[in-house]
Amino acid sequence: MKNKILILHSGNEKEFIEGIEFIENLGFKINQFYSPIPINRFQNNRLHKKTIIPAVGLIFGILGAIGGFTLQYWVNTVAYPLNFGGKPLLALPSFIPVIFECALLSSAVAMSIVFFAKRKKKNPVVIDNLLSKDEFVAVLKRNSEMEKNVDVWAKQESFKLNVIVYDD
Amino acid sequence: MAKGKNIESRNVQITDEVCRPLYGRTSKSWFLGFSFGIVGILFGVYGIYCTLFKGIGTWGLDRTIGWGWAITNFVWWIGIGHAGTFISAILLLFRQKWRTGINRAAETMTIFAIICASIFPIIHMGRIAFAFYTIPYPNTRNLWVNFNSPLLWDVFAILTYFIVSLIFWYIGMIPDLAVLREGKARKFKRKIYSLLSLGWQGTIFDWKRYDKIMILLASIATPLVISVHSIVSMDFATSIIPGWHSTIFPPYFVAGAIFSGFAMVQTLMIITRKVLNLERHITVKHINSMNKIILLMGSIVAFAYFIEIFFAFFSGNEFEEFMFLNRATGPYAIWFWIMMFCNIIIPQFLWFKKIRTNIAVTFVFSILINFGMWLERFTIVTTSLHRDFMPSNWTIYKPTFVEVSLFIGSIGLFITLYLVFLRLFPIISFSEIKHQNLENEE
Repeated sequence: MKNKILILHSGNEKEFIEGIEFIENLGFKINQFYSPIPINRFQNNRLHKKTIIPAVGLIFGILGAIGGFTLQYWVNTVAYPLNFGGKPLLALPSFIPVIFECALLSSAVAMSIVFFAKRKKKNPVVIDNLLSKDEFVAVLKRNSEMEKNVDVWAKQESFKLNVIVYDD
Repeated sequence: MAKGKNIESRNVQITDEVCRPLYGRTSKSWFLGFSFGIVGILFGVYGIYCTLFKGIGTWGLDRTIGWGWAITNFVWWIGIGHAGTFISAILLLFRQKWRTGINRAAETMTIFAIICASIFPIIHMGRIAFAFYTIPYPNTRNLWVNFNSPLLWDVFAILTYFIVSLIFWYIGMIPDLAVLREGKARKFKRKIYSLLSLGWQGTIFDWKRYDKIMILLASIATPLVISVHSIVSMDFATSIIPGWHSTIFPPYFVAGAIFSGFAMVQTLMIITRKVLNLERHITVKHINSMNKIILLMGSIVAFAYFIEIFFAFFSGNEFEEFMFLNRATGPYAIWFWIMMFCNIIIPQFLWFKKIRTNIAVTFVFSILINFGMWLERFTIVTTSLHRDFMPSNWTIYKPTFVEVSLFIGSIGLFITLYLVFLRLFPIISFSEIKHQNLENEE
């Protein structure tokens, strides 16, 4: 299916932001921003979505620590209680290294699963191409009035505004 | 406007320069290094064959010296693996800008160094299947692993370290892989990059999640750096052998590991920048900064050596005193003094900026420090064991050809893996360098 998208792109971050502000001041909305590098200012001001990664890391870290302790407690006191030179079966200080490692491992693995699992549909090829050429890209919400003005805006020196047709 | 255009063209140039080795023809120096690596691996295969089919009787071990080159190599490789995570994680948390040129190479080194290290404890078991019994799972007699043993803590620590380092390394590469999938590589290679980039879109939200997970993983990896080598040191420190039984071991081992790891990163970076023409990205500034850390860590290690000697005599324990006199004047004294020279004297030259910024001298120093740190582990293991409490047990340890082959094999494996990586993936994180340039511009 043929589809149309309106994109604004620039190879320079400052000019790109100026372009975005120009478009937004005219009252038009932007669907998505793409960047070849992290831009902190964008993350703070726009599309302020929260990520669950830190919460997952904390929860699974705690679960890992509890799991590490429970395993050692159960093995040493219930499943196979062995007397190592008179040491107590519940020798807490010697459990700490394993508890610590289990907590960190569980937290890191859980966070990475959440990170990898968040796959979305593929980008239009045109956006990938622009990104690989180090261009900053914004996809605008389509609007008939905007399409009429594309030619005027395209004359702006600092950024490029294109209507791109692609196969969906 | 002109300034903006400069950044644009510089960004394109960075991608081209970093990715050139992935697209271009393989250089002669690469083939030369690869051939060395393969020859090394063949030695290793021979060593493993002898060890597995004839047993560890082919090693120079006996009743007195139960651990020889194998544990020396293991601790050396694990130590080398430390700097990668140190550079990536700790320097990221401290927002050290100079890490961007070298972090990928250092992380890669970590992964390959841990792989090389893991060979030794596994083959030391005599039968590889025995490695299964280190996993916390009851055997047929319902016997569990001993959770009170530092050797088991090692299994947990190294596995955790390896997995976390692998995740950290891989996630750090994803934005670059996404650029490569649209690059000039062949179709098949691009498909692989596309698969590995896991649908990275480069949206602002992707970057936000990326930043978040990298910072969190760095916060996890930082205590791991400390814990892993502390636990490795406890393999020795919890025993009653003079020379091992010391409370200073955990910080001493951590400092030593970072010291040797940085020296190895230095060696690799100097070779990489020359062979791949990356002098613009791996600069003298990087080399200088790394030398400063080597100097700091070298000084901590030197302090630890003196404290160890001081404790031996201050304790009034005759076995401890004898052990240190034996190290300095006994049959292995030559190696002890070479170690002292490489690990104490050499780093002190780095106080001088002229030496810190001299690439050739730095390269020689990094090799000497690597050698010195290997000798440190050899000295700790062998000189502490070969003359124990009963003179009737005293013996001299000499490595056999099989043990030497195993060591050469691990070096060959490391070289080969690193060179293959250089051909397939960008050794410099270009998305981070571009970001850095942008920040510098502002």
